[in-house]
Amino acid sequence: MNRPWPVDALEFEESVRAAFTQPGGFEFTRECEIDPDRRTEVGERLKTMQVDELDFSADEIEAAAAALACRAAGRLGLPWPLVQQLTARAVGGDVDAVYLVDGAPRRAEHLDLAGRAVAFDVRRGSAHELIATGPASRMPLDPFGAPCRLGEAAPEPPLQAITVSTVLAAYLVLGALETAVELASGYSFERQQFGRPIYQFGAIQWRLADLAVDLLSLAEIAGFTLSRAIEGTATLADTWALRLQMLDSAGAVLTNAHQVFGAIGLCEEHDLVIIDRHLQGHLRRPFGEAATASALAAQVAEQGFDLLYPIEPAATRERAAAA
Amino acid sequence: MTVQPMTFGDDDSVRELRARLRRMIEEDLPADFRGAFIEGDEGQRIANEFCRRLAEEDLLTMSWPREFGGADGSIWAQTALREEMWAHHEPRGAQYMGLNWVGPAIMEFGTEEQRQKHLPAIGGAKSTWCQGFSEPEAGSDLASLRLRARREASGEWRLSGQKIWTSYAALAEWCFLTARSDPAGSKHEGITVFLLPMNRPGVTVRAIDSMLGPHHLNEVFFDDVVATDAEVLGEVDKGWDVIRFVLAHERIGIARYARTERLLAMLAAHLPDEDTGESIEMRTRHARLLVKARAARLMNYRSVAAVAAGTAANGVSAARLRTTLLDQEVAALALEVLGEEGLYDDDAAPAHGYVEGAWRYARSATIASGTSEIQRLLVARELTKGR
Repeated sequence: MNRPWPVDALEFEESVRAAFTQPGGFEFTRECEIDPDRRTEVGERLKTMQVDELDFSADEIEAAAAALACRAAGRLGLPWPLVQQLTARAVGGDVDAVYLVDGAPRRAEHLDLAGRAVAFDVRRGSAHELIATGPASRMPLDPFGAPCRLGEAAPEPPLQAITVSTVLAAYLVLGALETAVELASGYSFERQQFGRPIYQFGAIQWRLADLAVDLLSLAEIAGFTLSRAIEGTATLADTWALRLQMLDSAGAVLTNAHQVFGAIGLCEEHDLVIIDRHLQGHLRRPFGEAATASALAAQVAEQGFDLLYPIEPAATRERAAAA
Repeated sequence: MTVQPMTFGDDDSVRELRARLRRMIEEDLPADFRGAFIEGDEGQRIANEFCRRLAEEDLLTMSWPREFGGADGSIWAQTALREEMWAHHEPRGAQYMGLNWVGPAIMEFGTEEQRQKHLPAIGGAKSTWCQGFSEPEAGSDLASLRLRARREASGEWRLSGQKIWTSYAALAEWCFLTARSDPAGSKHEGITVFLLPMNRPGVTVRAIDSMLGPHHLNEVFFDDVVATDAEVLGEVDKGWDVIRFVLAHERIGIARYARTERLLAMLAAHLPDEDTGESIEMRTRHARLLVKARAARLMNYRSVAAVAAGTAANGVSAARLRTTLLDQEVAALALEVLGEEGLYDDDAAPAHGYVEGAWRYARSATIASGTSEIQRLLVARELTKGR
């Protein structure tokens, strides 16, 4: 029941990684925080590689390529509204970017570069134009947020937008967490305390084990949900399940990685800090862990959930009990 | 790490098998069946009868190769069988050990004589085995086992020492016994495996009362027990190779996540639907565990796929860790949701006391077959392999 990645999609991911690794990886992201205008270099390069033309809804190869491009972007901390733009491309319509929101946001990531954007309110099911009212400005946990306001009501994107956006965001976060895990496990061999690498301490091995399990859990749920999205069978419950796993995994991996690094992992010169700070927007928008769990519970009651012994929708259970 | 997406989705033959198994379970198992290991003989009687039914349907040894009387079942068919059995309190009773790993170990390492002697009996559910691995001083550190095997001048072996935590020892006719045949070498060397009849003079079983119920835990004492070369499995002093084979089968041999998923499905019907804080808390906890259950099954399937592809079964320990921790979280939620009713095991309790049994058994999830501490060390080792 493995679903092999299309070779073309893997090659595409590799070319994205190669293109952005050379100019300096996270160093470039740091430079963009100082000079946000440099983000346009990312957009130009992505355009040259035709990343912006990937259509998740076209076929399996393009869907996989879009997911893997987001993973590559996450691995390298690429400062660009890639998830929002690829979501817009997938659902069609006359917009350049789709942002999932919960109410009216005060800021939106890279909105100043996103072109014509629409805010899709996942709680209320409504859509409005999303208008940048100024350039992106740095805040530590929102490094590229641009101030914004809601405009006129807009045609609502199909519900599929929520799934596509969530899957792509999950792959972006997965990529970032993969880098965090590699950094943490590598550091555990370099750092010596009490005359030996800290890897040799059981407490550190526990940390590494826990972050590995959480990373694998996200990789599995992301792959599963991507497959269902490609087949067109992903439910909203599947989507919120992926988001919840993403939030759980990010929390566990980043916390454990920081503990492995100790004080040096708090320094701005260290890549873990960039990963940690830059992911926070993805983890809070459209909403955080508690709201995601509530949304999932509501969808499970409404739609059920596919397990070996499936959870039936509450209404189906009530009808069966009444009968 | 570029793992390929893993999906559920049985193919037609596995779907048909799963439906067939569920029909058999519904028709042939009492509604209140909660496993073979209960007070009295009724659990054993039901398990023996169910094994006979599986054998009639050529399902008992489905996973075995045809040359040993099996059906060459695909790895996914075997997985479905394990899932359905474990989700319904393993109605094969102690036989699952013989079928899952004793038989395969004898196929792999046994002599022709040993194969002829043991495989038909295991395949027909006519012999019960216990696993003589753990000792008082050799638990997680299994290779430190000290039960001594001395070869006499006559060529016979003499076995002296103790095993502990040995499940089903009082029921078993045979013991898959590990012993220290050469104390001079490193601890992974000098181990020999014996296929020993439990009625051999000098073997004494003492039951240990435990919260898991009868038969799960025993001590077994070996007092100058005679064994022969014909009872040695594999090479003398090379028993660690056999043990590694067994552990690899054992770790993917139990579909623990399947019982957890069934419990989650049962719990859905008992979740409170009010808008109070505690009701909302229970529903969201349940929802969170659904996601973990999905991840656990996918991770287990990853290990199965690796075995099927003949590649290193990376991720087995990670899957096991995720699964066993989940088992305990779900059992804890189940008691929380059912409240006082969750404590009872009589017919008036929800699902005939399924929850209290699941909760007691979940206590052992992170201990049996390799503790979660050891699994974590294995996961960390895998993550840093090659550095």
